[in-house]
Amino acid sequence: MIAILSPIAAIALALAISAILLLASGYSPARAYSVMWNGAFGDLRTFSEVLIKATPLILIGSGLAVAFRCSIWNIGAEGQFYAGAVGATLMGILVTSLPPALMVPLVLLVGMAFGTLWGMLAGYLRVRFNASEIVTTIMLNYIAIVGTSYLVTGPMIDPAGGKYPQTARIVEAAVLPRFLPPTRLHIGFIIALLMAFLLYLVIFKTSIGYAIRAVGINPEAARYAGIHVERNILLAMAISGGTAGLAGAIEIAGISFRLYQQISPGYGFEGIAVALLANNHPLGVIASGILFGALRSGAEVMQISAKVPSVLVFVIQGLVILCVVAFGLYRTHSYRALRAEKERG
Amino acid sequence: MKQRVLLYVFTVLLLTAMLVACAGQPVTPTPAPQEKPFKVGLLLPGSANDQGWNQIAYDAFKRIEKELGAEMSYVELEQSPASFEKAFRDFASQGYQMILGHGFEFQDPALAVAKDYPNTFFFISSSRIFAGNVIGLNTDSSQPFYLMGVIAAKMGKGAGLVGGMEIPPISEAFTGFINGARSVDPNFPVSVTYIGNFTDAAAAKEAALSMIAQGADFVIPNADVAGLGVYQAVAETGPHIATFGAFGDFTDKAPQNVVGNYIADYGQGIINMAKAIKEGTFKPTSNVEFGLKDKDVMWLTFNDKAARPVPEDVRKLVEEVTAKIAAGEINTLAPVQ
Repeated sequence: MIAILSPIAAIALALAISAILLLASGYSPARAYSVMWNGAFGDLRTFSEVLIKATPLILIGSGLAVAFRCSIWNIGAEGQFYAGAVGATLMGILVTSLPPALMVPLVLLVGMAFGTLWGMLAGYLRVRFNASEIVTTIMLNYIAIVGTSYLVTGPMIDPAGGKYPQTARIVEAAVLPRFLPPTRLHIGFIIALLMAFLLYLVIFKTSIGYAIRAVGINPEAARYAGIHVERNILLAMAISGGTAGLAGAIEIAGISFRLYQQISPGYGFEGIAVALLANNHPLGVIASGILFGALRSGAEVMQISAKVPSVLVFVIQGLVILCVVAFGLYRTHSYRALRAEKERG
Repeated sequence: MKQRVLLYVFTVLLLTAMLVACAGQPVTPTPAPQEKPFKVGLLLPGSANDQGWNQIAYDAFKRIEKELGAEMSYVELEQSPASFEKAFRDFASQGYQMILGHGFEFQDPALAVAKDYPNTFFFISSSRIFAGNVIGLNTDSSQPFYLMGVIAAKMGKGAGLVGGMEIPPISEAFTGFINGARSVDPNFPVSVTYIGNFTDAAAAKEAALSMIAQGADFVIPNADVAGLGVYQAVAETGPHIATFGAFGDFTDKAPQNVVGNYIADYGQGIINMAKAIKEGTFKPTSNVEFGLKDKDVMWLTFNDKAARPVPEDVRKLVEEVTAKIAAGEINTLAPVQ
């Protein structure tokens, strides 16, 4: 019972606090919330937009869930997302003669490979020099983002684009098929669901996942048990980097079709919250990814239709996240306390 | 174990809620068939009160709301192409007649949406696109900068131009300046620097100081907020250095040095179009290019209190050149050697 009620109560509390804020600023909470709800779930189109926004979050979140299970704090999903977007765009521009059946996998796999390599760079520094992956991944974010700016304004600039900082459009064969016209929902969402499920199997049903989790809980004990700690750290960085890279590739091939200087509104960082909210469970990431996507999507409509300024919308988003996370922690905490008490008594 | 159960329950709950919502009737009421309100929507790639690029459009739309009695709504979007197309559709599906995407990056998303809403006009700032109801709006700053070039070459020994980023709106203005200066003196020295952003006033100041050290006595910024550094540099160097205000009145930043201001009222240009759309007389045949021909959108003013005010004969020349540019007799964007 508590398990069901806890997240609902968290969201209800956040909305209640937000309602006071809205009232104090002179907006009708009822109108704002009904607009937000309709903006996320009102009809097929708005709901498909929620899923589109959830796609990169689910991919990044499920990859990060694996890394966090290994106690590897990859803060670099944003940079790995950019690396994947660059790789995918390169393929989409340079390879022009393949049929879609080959082109789509090529674009996605190259994007994934770029993200994997970008992630493993930090993994290698950690394993070889014991450099904190928190620091190196943050720094690699900047390099990836500024590097993308350089590519888009220089070597990869659209020759027909009148000097605007954008690349050429990727070839038609590289575009992800849409399966629910007239909406924009593309097969990237299905790929994200499959990837989350696959990572769930890997982490909980295979010996590979067992080793990753063992390293995360206690690396010295894992080493004593004969688990290759360094290899697992590299693997965790490769998986989380690869999913972020895949998310970047899907954003290019499914939504924007060309690379701009800024391609992500912070998916890489939001993915961290998505993974944590799901307690680093790849299947839970699907739910928390959709929740975050709905918040993003509903927030835009709230600005347009209820004319609530974006700052207030961000506050509401933040309150929802804060309450859900806090309630989650409280629950885990009291559960542990309960168990400890049982063991003692 | 308990947590896993929670996760499943959470997922199921969320999906059920969605299904219920999808099955339910859309709550939006259909308005009574009365006189259709004039609705204008604005898509901003940043904060509406940034004192710069976004605020120009925001203020313009506020004026449309006030002066034309329009219903105005805007959305601040994060830099994410995924959001742009959705926001266009959110507006268009609610019957907005005029939507402005404030930046070239809105081109592709507007094209994708526009074909489904033939009765809505989609405007794109800083773009030269024209495809049916998707219309690029461009302010041709090369024209007023051409006038500045003429004045600088008449009055000075050399000029320096400090740009933000090397993008068409900036580099084209500088092309105009150089063409203007060369029309007076083919050997007039002009140096150009881009500081690489629109925020670093210290870098702009350094660039201006080094240009002055190399002999430039006209130094002009085109770098949004960072341009303030140039006014600091000229004001500190002394009254013998001249400059122009760009896109607004900057006389108070360097009262001795600002000899004139290029005033751009993008908002007036947008309002003129909004008026035409409201009255149903807007029939575009090309993209919109604001220039000196649009006398209420861009013009040049002079500062009589400057240390070196622009002499009367030069003002007369500027007037003649302005007329020629407005008539299309001078190509301010001719390629520079």
